[in-house]
Amino acid sequence: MNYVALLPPVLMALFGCATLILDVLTRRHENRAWLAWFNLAGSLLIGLSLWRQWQALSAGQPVVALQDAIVIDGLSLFANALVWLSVVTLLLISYRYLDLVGEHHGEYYALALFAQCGMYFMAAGVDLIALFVGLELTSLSFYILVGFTRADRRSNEAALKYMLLGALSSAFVLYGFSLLYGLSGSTSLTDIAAAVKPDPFTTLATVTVVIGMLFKVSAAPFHFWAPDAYEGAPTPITGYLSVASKIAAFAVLVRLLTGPLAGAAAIWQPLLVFASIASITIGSIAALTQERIKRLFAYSGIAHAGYVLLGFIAGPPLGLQGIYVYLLVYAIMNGGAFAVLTSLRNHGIAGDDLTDLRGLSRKHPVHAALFAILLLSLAGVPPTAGFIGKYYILAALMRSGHITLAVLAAGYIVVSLYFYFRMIREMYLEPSEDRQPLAASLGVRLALAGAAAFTLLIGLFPQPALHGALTLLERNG
Amino acid sequence: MVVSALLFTVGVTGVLLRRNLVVVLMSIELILNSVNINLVAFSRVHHHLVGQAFALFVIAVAVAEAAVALGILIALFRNRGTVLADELDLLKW
Repeated sequence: MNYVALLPPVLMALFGCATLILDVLTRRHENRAWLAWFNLAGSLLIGLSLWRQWQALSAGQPVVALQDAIVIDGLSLFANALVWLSVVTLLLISYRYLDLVGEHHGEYYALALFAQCGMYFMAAGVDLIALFVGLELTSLSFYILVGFTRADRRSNEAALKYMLLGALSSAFVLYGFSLLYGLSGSTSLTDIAAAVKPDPFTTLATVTVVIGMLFKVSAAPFHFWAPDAYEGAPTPITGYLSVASKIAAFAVLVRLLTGPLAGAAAIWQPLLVFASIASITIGSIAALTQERIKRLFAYSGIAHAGYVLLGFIAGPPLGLQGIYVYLLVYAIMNGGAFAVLTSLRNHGIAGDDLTDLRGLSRKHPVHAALFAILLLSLAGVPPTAGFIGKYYILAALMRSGHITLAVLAAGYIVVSLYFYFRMIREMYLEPSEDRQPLAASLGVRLALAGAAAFTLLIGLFPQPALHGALTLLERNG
Repeated sequence: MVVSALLFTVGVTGVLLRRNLVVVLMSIELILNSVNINLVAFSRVHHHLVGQAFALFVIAVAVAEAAVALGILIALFRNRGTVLADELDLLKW
């Protein structure tokens, strides 16, 4: 038994449960924000335990646990670090928002940590059972978090739609898992890799698993839940959902498609080609007409998922490297953008409409400028990090000979410029309406400043990020 | 295998075609049960217990999922007074 591999999820579960208990014990206190700081302290410990894993990995020790059901390698550590960043962002930006919507309960933080625990097992699991349990723990926590503002009918509706389609997609994945188990007689991914051969059985298993996972990363044509869930969920949760759950699902996809299902590439490749083109097209075009910010970000997220899928088509090693860089960049810029969106919510203002951005440049010039940087990055304009992410994916695609796909994807970047610039225009050019200042807490400022700084840093000096991606690839063997 | 494939198909059809959300939930449970049949059958073919253990995990998770789903459904019903899928139209573009 290797404690290094199990320390982070144990800490997450412990702090989650402790939050629940402390919450009940201190019901009478009005101020709940300390729960956020308590969990931030917990996150610090979790971060340290992840750091400890990195050290063990650098020293070349194999880190496995639970009878080889989970393994710490470059992929899982990378995904967990990003999820960790996303949780820290969530904790920083949530407490003010929750006070404003009047739903400040300890369960919020506990569920966020339980979801993180689930994502840990998604990223680290190399056994069908561990993967499935992680996937479900994540999804169940997110269903509740999306519907957390119980009195809000839109939140109810979002939770229900997300939950139905999420459960359906989990069932698809699970059906594929049961077939894979039947094929190989084992739930370990390495044994399955040996048993995969081209027959109808494998085809069915691959198709169901891949479709289920495409649901989870909200790739078109399985994206219908995303705009609804994103719009109805509390804004910080939308950010968490759009970053962390996507990264964990992509980690599972990388694990499956480069491992056991690598032999079935002929089956999933056309599926992914279709899904990525559809995602980029639908995401970019549907975002053009949106009036609500979170819905717009949902479609932009669908398009981003499409770009990441292109990395799978390009194949290892360059495509995988592109995926790593892209996910890193996406996590940072989307996390930062949602910090801004969260602070738009104030007394009497929902902060959902594009028009709510008006006059931001005059009232809060610093926030507006940082948000503009993040938007430029999301659009993929140099010298921001978003450009580097898209560049590596497209370059990998060109190298692997998919010129048409690359040109098509690059074309849609131009389309996406329009709707990102629309937000910038609302901020800078539209006349200011009389409105209250932003509800920007200390946490939001920290998260925003950090995200914008990293976006520019990676954009201006891409070498460290690229180097990191290469190291991760090497450790993945 | 055949039984489970049939159950899977019935479940997916149910999810796609039925309006009543409670029935949709039941259909999802059907899919999960088809998976269980698969797992247990395969476990018998391969002569070891891993599949059955997996099935136990699936049952536990299915129960948790049903509980969460019904909780959300009840919250929705309190606020809206309906469980029909096409009357949920607040979120549209």
